[in-house]
Amino acid sequence: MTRNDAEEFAEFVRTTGPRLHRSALLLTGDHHLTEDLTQATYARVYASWRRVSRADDPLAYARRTLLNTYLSHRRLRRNSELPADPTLGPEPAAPEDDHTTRLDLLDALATLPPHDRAVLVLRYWEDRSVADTAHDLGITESAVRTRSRRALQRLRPLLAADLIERTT
Amino acid sequence: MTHDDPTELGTALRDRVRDEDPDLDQLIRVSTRTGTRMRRRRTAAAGLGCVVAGVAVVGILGSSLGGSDDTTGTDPGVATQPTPTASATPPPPDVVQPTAQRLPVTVVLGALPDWEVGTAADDKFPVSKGDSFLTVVTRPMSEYDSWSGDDPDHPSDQVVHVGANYFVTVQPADDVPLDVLHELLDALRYETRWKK
Repeated sequence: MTRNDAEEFAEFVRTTGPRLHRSALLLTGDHHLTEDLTQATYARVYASWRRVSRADDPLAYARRTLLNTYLSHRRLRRNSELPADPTLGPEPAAPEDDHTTRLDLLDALATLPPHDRAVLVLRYWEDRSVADTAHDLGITESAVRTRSRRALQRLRPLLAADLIERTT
Repeated sequence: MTHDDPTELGTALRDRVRDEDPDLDQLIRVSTRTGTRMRRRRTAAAGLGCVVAGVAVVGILGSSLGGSDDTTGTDPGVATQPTPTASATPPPPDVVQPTAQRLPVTVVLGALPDWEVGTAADDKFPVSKGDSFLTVVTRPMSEYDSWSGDDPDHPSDQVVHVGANYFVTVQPADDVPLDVLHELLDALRYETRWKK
């Protein structure tokens, strides 16, 4: 790694860091985990920086690394197998609509399964298309739509009233 | 709120994290240091990868992997470990014999059409796709603590599964794309216990 490479990498982090950091926060819902996830992501990017820097879209690579790191970490922590197709898993029961226990948006997102959360973050924070989201997560477009719809249904009763008012 | 109304949720998400900023100097410092360690490990692993790949080629050539249409008596598309008597008959096309002893980790070959799974010794077996070489290693739980900390020689991010009495690491050689790594991870299946 040359000095120029290191400087290029540092500039890349300064340019993209805030965006990926916020994506990580929406995924993890926790500031410490966000810091760990963002650092792990950029460490992997740095380890392959010569190749990444020549890519058409280094940010896309970093975003996918962030997602993969996040989902892999979740998989490891869960300490059990995923279903072969996550979309085949049982549909989680929707939480009861208890208006006395509204949650912050991050807390509400944290109640979702990791893949559902990733779908929402990609679709509505990153403004990725259904096709791009499917590609990024390695699932079908149909699964993206299903997960997105299910996640939004689960979020509705959990979100603060002002958001409910804005989004209904 | 509906899934057809992305603008409102997008706005809410942006509002929520607008003021969240990382410490960029620390992020650069830590990721550079950690990334440098990762690259050194990969370089070291590349040497091992070449050796293992050579073993894999010999193993593949020496077996009938992909050389038969016989699928009798196996679960198609799923790699299984051989019994001591299995060598008497040619293995079916999608069945791999990763090691000489029974391991609790298998590979769904149907999910990896462009991959090769080689034969190796002891508790590890090599897999490869094109120029990407990785090694899947089954380890006893007694070693787990050393893989759970910050030991650069035992990176915790290589631990991909924890079973009842074992865990599995996947060690990529130099410059294995993350997409390739995760393609493999999705095709691995695990038993609850390692029955040695």
